[in-house]
Amino acid sequence: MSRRDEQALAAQLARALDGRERPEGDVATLVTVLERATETARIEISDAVVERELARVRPRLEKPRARRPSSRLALAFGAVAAAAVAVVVFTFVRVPGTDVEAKALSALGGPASILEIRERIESATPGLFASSTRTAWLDQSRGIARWVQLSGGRRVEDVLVEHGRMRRYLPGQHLVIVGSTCRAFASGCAELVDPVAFYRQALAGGGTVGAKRDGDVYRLTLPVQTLPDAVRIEQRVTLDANTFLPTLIEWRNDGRTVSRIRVESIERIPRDQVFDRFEQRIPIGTKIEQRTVSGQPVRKLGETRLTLAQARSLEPALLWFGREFAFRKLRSIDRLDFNTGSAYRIRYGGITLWNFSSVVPPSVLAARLSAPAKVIPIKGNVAHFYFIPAGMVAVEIDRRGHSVALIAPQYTKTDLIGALQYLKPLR
Amino acid sequence: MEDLGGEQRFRREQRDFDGLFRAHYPEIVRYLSVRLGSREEAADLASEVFLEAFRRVPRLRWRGRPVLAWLYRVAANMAADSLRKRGREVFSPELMESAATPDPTETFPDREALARALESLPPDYQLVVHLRLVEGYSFAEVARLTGRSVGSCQMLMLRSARRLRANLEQAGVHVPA
Repeated sequence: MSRRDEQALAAQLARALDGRERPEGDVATLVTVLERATETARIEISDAVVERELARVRPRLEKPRARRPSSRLALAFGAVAAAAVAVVVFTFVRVPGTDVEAKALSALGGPASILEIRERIESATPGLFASSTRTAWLDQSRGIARWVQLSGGRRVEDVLVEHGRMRRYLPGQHLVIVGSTCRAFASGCAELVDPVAFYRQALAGGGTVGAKRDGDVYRLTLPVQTLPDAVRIEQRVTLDANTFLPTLIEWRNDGRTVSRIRVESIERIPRDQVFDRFEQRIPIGTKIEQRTVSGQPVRKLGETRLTLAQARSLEPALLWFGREFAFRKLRSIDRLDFNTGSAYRIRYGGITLWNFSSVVPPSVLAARLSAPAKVIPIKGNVAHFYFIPAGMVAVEIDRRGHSVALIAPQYTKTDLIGALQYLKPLR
Repeated sequence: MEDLGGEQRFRREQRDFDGLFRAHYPEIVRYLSVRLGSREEAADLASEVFLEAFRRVPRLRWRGRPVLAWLYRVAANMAADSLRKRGREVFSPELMESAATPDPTETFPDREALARALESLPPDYQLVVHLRLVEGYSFAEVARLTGRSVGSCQMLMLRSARRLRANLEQAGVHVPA
């Protein structure tokens, strides 16, 4: 075979592997060989394992400790150090810091309060980024925050943070990005934290460094906080001396002010008047992109049809309906491999049952975003129902080890509740 | 190309060791698991790769390639050293145990032979196969990570596939068309 033919065949194989061309003949065999040979190498490594290994490596990064002083010297040094700490603590924390800090925290309401905040975000360096306004809603007791940001009168983003999971809707790009942590987003965590929520968190964490009265305002310098992506933020906050509410929050990084957030208003909203403030309205047809912890898009790597014997050997056991459900025979069990893990699809005619943990199958994600969920308690658990515009109904339920989602056309909510009762481990 | 990031991400990864570790540790372990034939050894060696990264990455100069390319190069060198010290190219059943139990009725049953065939590929073949088929990078990204052209990566993939098929046939494993 000539070099040119070799190159053409290599390009053909590449197109087949990319899914751009249906493989045939020799190329089909080579694709099968490659896909099957690499199956064993797709080892799933969970975030928990990564964190454990990081914790194991971290002590080795530290410099060797200085030689320990003799015990007598250590005692003397300890006594001096303790006295010094006492002076520092007394000077910086005792008064007026603690009182101002407590009042500032109290002004934002208790953990059960729901706040509506209007902010204006400006770059500390003129022209670095355009000023924008933001309306944020915070519900600390439910762990939910949402904000809508406007720039030049146009909505540029709509972010929903729910129990740490983030969903960022960018109307200009017709795109929704979903991630389990702010580290998954290219913009970094600083843009996915609401400044007032961050300020309240710093206050609640204690350790205010300084509070100074300056005419009608107090100026607080809060301890440096580290965001999940390791960016360190120091907050300088100006408080109204009468209301103890923040009027200006300055974010500093490495000693430089990076942005100024002018707080235009903070209102408490009664819980029964929240209405749809925490609901994102995402137009049909918006592209959805799921991100891994490292910020890379979730990519499908391949799909493998499993035999029943293979499916039975999985741990934890998949949940299924048996070999037949609602007069529909089991059609297939497939493992879909993504770069973050695998999901399992079990098909009974037009009914699809998903088992997943680290990666949310795209059709389930699309269902989640298409309409607000209705939450219904079911036997010590809760099921989330979504009504998809295409006329389908989806139900999702969390179990130990993984979640299960059922997508069924022409099913009612009552049918799905009934169906959930038939789920059993595939053994 | 965007996934691997440009100079901005390079600079960020130079400063943020934890972020670098979280982003790339799993794929380095997966790569080393095949090279070394042992997931446990792979995890240990991956830690060494990141310790080296902690010392050297902050001093790297931006040359248009991501920090990840450097990590793979160091991992490949360390794996080669480790194998040289052992004086043998090993195959360990450990990697197989992490996969699903084979089904005797399966038409393509010999998972052990498959893994052995993958491990026996030359290191540069293995890297291209790993990046494209295990990690799911595009050929353009694989080219950027390995410092080769896209055409060269595609050619290595073709040769890998042929060699895998030959190894499997030699081991008596039927390869369906």
